[in-house]
Amino acid sequence: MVVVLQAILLGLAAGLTATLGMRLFGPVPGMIGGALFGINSESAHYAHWLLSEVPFTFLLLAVLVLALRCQSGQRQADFVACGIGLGLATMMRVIAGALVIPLSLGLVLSATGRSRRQRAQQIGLLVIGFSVVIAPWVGRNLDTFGQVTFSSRLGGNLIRRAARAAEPLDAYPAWLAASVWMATNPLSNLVYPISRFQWGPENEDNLIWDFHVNDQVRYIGRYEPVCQARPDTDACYAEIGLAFVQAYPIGYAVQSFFALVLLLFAPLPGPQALEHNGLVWLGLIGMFGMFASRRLGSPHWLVLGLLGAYVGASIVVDTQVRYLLPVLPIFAVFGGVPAARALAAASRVGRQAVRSRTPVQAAE
Amino acid sequence: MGDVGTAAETARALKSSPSLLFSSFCTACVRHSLPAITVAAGFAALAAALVACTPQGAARQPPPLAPTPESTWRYGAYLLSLDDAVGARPYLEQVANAPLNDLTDATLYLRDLTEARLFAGDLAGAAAAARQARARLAGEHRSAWLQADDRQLFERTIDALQAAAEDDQQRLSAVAADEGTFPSADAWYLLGWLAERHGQLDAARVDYRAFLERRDGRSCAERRHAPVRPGCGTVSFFRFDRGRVLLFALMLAVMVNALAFAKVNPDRIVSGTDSPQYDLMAKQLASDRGFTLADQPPYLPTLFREPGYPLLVPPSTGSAAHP
Repeated sequence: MVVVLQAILLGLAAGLTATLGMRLFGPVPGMIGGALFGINSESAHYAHWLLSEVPFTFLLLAVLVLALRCQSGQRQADFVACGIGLGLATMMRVIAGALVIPLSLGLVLSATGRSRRQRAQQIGLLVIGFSVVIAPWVGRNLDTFGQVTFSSRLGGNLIRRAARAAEPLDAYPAWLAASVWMATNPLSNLVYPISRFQWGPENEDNLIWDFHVNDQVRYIGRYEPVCQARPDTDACYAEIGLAFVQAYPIGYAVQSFFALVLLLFAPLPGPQALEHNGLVWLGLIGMFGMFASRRLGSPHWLVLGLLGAYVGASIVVDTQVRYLLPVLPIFAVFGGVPAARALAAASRVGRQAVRSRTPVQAAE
Repeated sequence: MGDVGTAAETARALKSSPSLLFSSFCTACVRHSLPAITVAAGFAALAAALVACTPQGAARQPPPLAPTPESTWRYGAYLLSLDDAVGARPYLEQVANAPLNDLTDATLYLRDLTEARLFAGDLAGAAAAARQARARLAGEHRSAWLQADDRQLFERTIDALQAAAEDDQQRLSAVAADEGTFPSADAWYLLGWLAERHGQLDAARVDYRAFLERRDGRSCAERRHAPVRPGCGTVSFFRFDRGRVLLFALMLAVMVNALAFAKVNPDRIVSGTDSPQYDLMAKQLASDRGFTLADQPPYLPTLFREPGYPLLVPPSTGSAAHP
């Protein structure tokens, strides 16, 4: 049954992606964006697994579309619905909570023709909607653990990411090579096969896999014996992780670039990497093209701002490529623009070719 | 049994500390009302989706990214349906320079052009476009989209537009007053518009009232061929409807694709990811052990994972789906 539910939610998410695209770029790029996201083996994979990706994606998209309605329509009900949607998304994945402030700011800054009082009232409605949804869970945590908190993974996640900041400069060339290879995967695999990064007999003894996963496992394994003995393991990890951030702030900031690569690009060569990385690149080209041609208006900036906030929140702590799925629809929507243009150009060429044939040729 | 103990402890805590009222209530809600919460969350999500999917009139679509005569016309017609004749006119005029045979429905385009020119104040241009539309309509064959009734109605619309463009109030009154097979609401609108131009405000008010009385009961055919104002904007109605069908088809295709994929790939739980933990949490919730990641007593509560997904999962999978 969960598969049926997730398939339905994926279908609705594709519909929301198309709606988002239609609002930003018109019907054709919107429909193409919806199809690029929905009819995609990566989305189908996540829909058939017992993972929160698809429901979370659906909720996040509903929030995005509602945010655009808030921006243009200014109906109070939309602000409440947007807050409720964000609350439900946060109940699914805590990272959505990081969008409350950027979303509120984006709506305040892009609001035109509204008084300060009206803006405050509308943002207040959004925050109330959000708070009402998350209150039971926060209340439960206060009651059970005595803390006003949402989840306790910060330390465990931070230690995997922060410890890398202390690595010496010698390690950077290999990481840069791995980043470039991943960003251009699977084309890079044709030029320089992943097997050349192999350094040991086991399958996982590979530089790309080290960069993607193994290093993180090693870091957490290094501090596990210390922290498992403490009453609050996660607090222990957080303490050590923050100590790394404080001791190596530049190294930590530079590592964010590598975290961005880990978030955006699929590591293993194959059809899925072609699909995923191709879509990401198409989206990036669409974003850059729209920016360069100065066709970005306030709705586009709102969506891009929320994308930036999500990506920023993902890479600050710990990340992996599957965390991109919830915002992959934004890449699909922006990718729908160059795709629509290419389609229009192909259709023009096709029509011209048909017209240029003489009636005799056509009869033949 | 555990529930009795929990309830008694909760009651004692409430007596001793009223400040715990809210958090205890929340805990009780989460522990004892899982199906209700899940169903409510599902409905809320669905409602949010439906609200979000409903197109909003106030938001304006951007111009076509790849302008072709067809897409430019459609965009101009879309602006017309938003009551922006001045904004629509440049787009529609651009198309006038291209070969009209490239358009899917040149007659409809000419009618749009007439309307844009008329409401932008170019009466002579509007009259010329109306004449062109009439000539074009005369050459059109009967088809599934243009039955005899449609033709008659379309002619009346063009008649009304041409009469308005030629400032012929008498002819327009005759078209409007002809309450035959297809009473034309739009002719009344044009009559009101013309009267307003002449400063006959009382007459305009009467004509507009007649328009409002008639427009709600219009036939589908009239909605296709007589769009003059938003609310009776048939071009946008049909386009929107087609868009809706496409959107529905896309969603259906995605659902079928996902279900087919799941049928071929029966694995649901992937080791090394979060799914075993979600599965365990879902099972423990279904067994009324609360949010816990422990598979053995004393089932200590956890805040390692968020509650949304395990709450969504139990009614659908429970433990039965995982042999």
